Amino acid sequence: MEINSIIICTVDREPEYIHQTLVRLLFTLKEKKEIYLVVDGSSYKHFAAYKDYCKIYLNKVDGRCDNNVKKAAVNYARCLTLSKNIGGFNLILEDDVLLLPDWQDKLKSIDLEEEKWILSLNNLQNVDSKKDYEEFVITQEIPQRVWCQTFATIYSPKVLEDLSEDMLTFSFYKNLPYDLALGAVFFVKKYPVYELVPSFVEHLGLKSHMTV
Amino acid sequence: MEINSIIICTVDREPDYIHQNLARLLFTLKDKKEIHIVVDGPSYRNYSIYKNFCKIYLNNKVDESLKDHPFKKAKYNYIRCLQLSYHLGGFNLILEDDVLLSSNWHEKIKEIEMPQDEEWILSLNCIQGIESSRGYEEFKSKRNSQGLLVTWCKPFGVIYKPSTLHFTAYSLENYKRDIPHDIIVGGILYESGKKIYECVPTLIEHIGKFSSINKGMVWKTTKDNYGRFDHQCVHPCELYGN
Repeated sequence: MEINSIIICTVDREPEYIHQTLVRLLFTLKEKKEIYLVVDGSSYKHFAAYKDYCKIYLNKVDGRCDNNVKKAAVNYARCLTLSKNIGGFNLILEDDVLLLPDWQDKLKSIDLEEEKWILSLNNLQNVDSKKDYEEFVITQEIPQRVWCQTFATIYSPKVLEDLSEDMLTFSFYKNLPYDLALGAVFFVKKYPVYELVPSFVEHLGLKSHMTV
Repeated sequence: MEINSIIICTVDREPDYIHQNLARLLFTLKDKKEIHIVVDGPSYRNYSIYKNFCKIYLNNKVDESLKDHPFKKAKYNYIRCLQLSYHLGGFNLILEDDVLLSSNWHEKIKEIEMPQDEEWILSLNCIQGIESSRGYEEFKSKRNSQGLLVTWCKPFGVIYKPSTLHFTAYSLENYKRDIPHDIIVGGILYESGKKIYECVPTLIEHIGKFSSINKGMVWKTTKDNYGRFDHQCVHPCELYGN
């Protein structure tokens, strides 16, 4: 699988993990890729330092959002829509993650045959696999055993067709964080979720911007 | 001029400007260069995430007597950077940790041919902001109305000619007064007749709002921060002089 670009979902917050995320991304990228910063906010602030090197999408205040959970869900939905519009496979990264070396080579070795799938670079199950990836089976609807932790994820183009709207519906209806809302959508729609084995991403953020 | 590597002089501090510095460096480098991080401290902490990608030099010999002498402490770390650059050989860019490089700095540096028959340093930062068709201009020290010698300071990003580098490291180490090392460097270079060249327009800007040497000190000029590439020219330092 060859990815077209990297989309980073971010917000102006302290600590500014995004710089470390970007440095590690740049250190580990084997070839040049377009980088998009999808900012939940209307001002460039510290993102201005990257204006000449990334495409930066700011956001106008959304009247529907009365809390940070909904705001974050709307911003992640923007990333999903952007990935759909770019086309092909795009890696959607959260802003507080560190990619491990060779993640790009690992992705190139993977070829998923189905039309609809989700591939996470993060491994929740800690399983051993003879394949490069393992399916995460979602067995029940929320709140138990749903897939979450959208640190670094690739969605197949077919999955992206309606995903942002479906995720927002779940998130707004039950006030769910977007990763849990996505897990619920995958469960209902029976989308297979795959995880890389071993994990190719580490989580850096100690503070959540959704539960400040 | 072709540089061999980049040396970043840093200390574990908040905010961690070094991450932005590195991101911008990686975006603007035109070809791969070795990056060295010289840390004034014994622990990896913030730098551990770069262990596989940069060479990191910790300082395990923490001198307790320097605890109350932040200028000297910073000076010795800067000397470590000078010594490393000398050891690596050729031309190396020594960067402070709280700077952003311009998008074209690497091409500009490649275009510049420095005089071979002089002792010199080349600063990517421009204090004077004068016009130059060469891409760089000499910084000329002068006395101000109070008789103070106005010397070069702010070594945000500097390339030393190797022979000048050796002289600077030796002189800096033996300098006794407890003042910031950037002022000392400007002074010793001026007094020994070495040339200080600055890139015009500036190829670097300063983002640090807090000094690591003088904790709590906030930089007075906002021109040091974002946006200087469009309107550079801050006042030269007026601290050195006997």
